[in-house]
Amino acid sequence: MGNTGSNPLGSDPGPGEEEVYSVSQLNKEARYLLEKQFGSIWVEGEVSNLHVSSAGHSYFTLKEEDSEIDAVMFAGDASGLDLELEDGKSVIARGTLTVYERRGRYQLRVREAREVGEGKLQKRFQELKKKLKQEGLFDEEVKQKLPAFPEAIGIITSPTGAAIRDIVSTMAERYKSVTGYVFPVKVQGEEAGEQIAEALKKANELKSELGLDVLIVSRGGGSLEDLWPFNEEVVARAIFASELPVVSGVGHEVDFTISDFVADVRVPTPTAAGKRVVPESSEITNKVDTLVKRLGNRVKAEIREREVELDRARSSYGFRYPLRKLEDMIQDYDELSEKLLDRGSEALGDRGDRLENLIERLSLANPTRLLRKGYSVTYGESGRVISDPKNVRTDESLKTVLHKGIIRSVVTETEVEDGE
Amino acid sequence: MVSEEEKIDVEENLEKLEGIVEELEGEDLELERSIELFEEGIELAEGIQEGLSAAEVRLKKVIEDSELDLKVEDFDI
Repeated sequence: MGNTGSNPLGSDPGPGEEEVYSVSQLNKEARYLLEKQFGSIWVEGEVSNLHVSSAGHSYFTLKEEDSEIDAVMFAGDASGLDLELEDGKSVIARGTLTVYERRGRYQLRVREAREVGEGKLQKRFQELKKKLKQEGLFDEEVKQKLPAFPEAIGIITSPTGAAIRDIVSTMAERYKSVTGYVFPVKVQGEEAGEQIAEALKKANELKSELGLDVLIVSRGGGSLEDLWPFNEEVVARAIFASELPVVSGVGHEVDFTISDFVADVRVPTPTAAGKRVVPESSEITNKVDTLVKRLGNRVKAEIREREVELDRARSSYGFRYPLRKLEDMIQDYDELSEKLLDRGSEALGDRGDRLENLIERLSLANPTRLLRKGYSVTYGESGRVISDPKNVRTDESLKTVLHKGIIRSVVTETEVEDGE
Repeated sequence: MVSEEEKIDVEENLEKLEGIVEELEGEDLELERSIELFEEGIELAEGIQEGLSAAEVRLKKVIEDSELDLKVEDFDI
């Protein structure tokens, strides 16, 4: 034929000597090659055609504009996933490239998946954290102490979120003598960071006008992206610049934001912020009760002491002139006791009952009562109460106050008791 | 804009009360002085109680009006 033209069989000599694969063999080898070649890889794409089987395995396609690949995630792997796979969600998936031999389709067997963007945010977070730390924004030495008894608290958060309700209701459970000034801001999205920073600045400007003592920046839980405004540099700088101490309570226990690191105090949640900024009223009340008791005990002891002294020194001097001062004092004391008794439990609550009790017991030891009983108080020339004969000299003029008047006398002789 | 009623400084009253109790528990006070201190202490204690007796946390909202001036309004959650 002398023809150099192609033999229809010439360039494709047919099976002849060469190996003939079976379909399953081919798929097996292709699978081996793909798995070996790619190993474990990351692939970014958008989830579509998601179908979850009754056994919990997820079948979907990962696609971009004009290309796609089948993917499968088995129930065991899917259960450990942080994010929910959804059609339209952009993810980065890690897995192995393999062939589903039964159908000869190659696919990605996904072991884990993350939302796109999260990785980038994490990176930005770490970079900013490192930078601000180096600049000293997180230093313990520059952190301010919170006031023990704030009167006005600036709360920078969304006026409609759960956070503001949690903060205020927790505060109110502990302590009510406080005013909360809400600075409404967005707490997620583009403008949020700027708004929060601006509110921090405003609150500081209004510090004396509103009498602010401390600020809270807060929001409830959400995704890393939701919490992002609290990771922005502008917010960090504004917290650092704040003259008022700042408490940061963002997200849940596990969430840490840049604002947590810069703030003077970091608390895990909005609720914890409300708790942290105010004292516990009942603790103060208990403290006051104890102090009042000590006060009362001491006065009672004083009066008892004098009772004993007076008892010893009691004599039968006559009397004529009232000593205004002591009587006034006693009257004041009586009035005060009555005043307190009048108010009683109504105004002072439980503490009132206890106070009432105390005052009743005190009034039993009231000096007026003692004088009425015939006791008296003797003053030396210096005006000091004489409780020891050693403190007077012979010929010193004394003044003795009785229930209805005073006696003036002169010392002729003293006797000191033994065993004092 | 500043709050209407005069505020009771709970912290200051508490410190004073502690001081008074200590003085009273010190040595050699005259009866007159003791009673004076007692009265003063009771008044401070009442003051603290009054300071703590607010019925509810007061809430205000700080906002900008149309002229971008700041104003304070009552706020409810």
